[in-house]
Amino acid sequence: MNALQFQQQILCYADQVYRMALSITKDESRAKDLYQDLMMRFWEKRDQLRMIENRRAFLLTSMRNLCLDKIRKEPVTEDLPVGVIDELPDPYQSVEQSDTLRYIHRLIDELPDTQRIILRMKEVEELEMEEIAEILSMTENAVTVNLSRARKKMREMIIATQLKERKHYERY
Amino acid sequence: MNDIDTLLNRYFEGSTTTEEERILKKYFGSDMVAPQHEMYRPLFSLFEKEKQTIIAPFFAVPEEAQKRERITSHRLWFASASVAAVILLGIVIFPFISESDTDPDYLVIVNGSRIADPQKAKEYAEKMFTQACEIKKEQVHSLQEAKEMIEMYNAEKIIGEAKKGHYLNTTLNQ
Repeated sequence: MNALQFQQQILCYADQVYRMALSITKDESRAKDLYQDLMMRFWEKRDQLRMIENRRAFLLTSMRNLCLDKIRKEPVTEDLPVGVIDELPDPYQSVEQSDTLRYIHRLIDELPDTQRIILRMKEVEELEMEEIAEILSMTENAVTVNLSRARKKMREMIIATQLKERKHYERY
Repeated sequence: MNDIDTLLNRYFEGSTTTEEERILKKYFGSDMVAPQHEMYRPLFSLFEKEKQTIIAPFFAVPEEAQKRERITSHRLWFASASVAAVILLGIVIFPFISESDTDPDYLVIVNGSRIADPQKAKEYAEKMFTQACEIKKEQVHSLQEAKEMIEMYNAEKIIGEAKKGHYLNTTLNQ
């Protein structure tokens, strides 16, 4: 596999692979390092990649494994998560769409790891359940259950936010 | 609108099909979102925004590495050993050929240089063999190193008196 083939057959999935790293690590700098690390590894073993049938699934699985391996070896010392609902944007500012999106983004980041990763694979990458199951080494049923829980939780949090916003409005 | 409510309920239950999810995404991407559904709009917008804005950092494909690998240590070893073998063959066989010739001179051709001194030719061959063994041991990968080695063991430099394109004739018995 030469440089051109590598670009056409491997780097075409770069964004998805990077987003996977970002979804798992929740840290841009770390995700970038891990992405570069993985791509360099693949470049060094590029001839072996020819035999892989579903390259996208293989790349995403490899990225996930590398992230989990790194996290296991060097756990991130995170601050205790702040209650997102308590930190909802000021109702007078929430008209700003970017604030709202940032807020939803934080809600997603508060989901348990597996739910968060599956939700993004389904909604952002638009992968089929079968492929998600293959990448995460889970059964399709387990993927469906986790996706359902993630979506329900998002709905609960959105409704809770809505109620809290109403209370703010009523107070003023 | 009831359809959207039903779809939304099924979506949050995790039981929508891919086609039904497309309908929801299209709905929330339009300007026709009903007020009671507005609160879900950012959720769908975010997924689309992440897809469009979160892109991988540039990965520079290492072109040089691709070129370097063409000269592997194995190939270099075989090349060096082959040169050494040819020289030795020349040292062994040429005197016999020379004896049958009218010209009694000793002559070995290395990299286009004609070496007339059998001792020096032998030394050169031995150096090439030594170098081949070292390559095998050290697993030299670099093209640059290979070039330096070729330069270091240039026949003309080692023998000194040898010059490309010129005959250096010395009798075997000298």
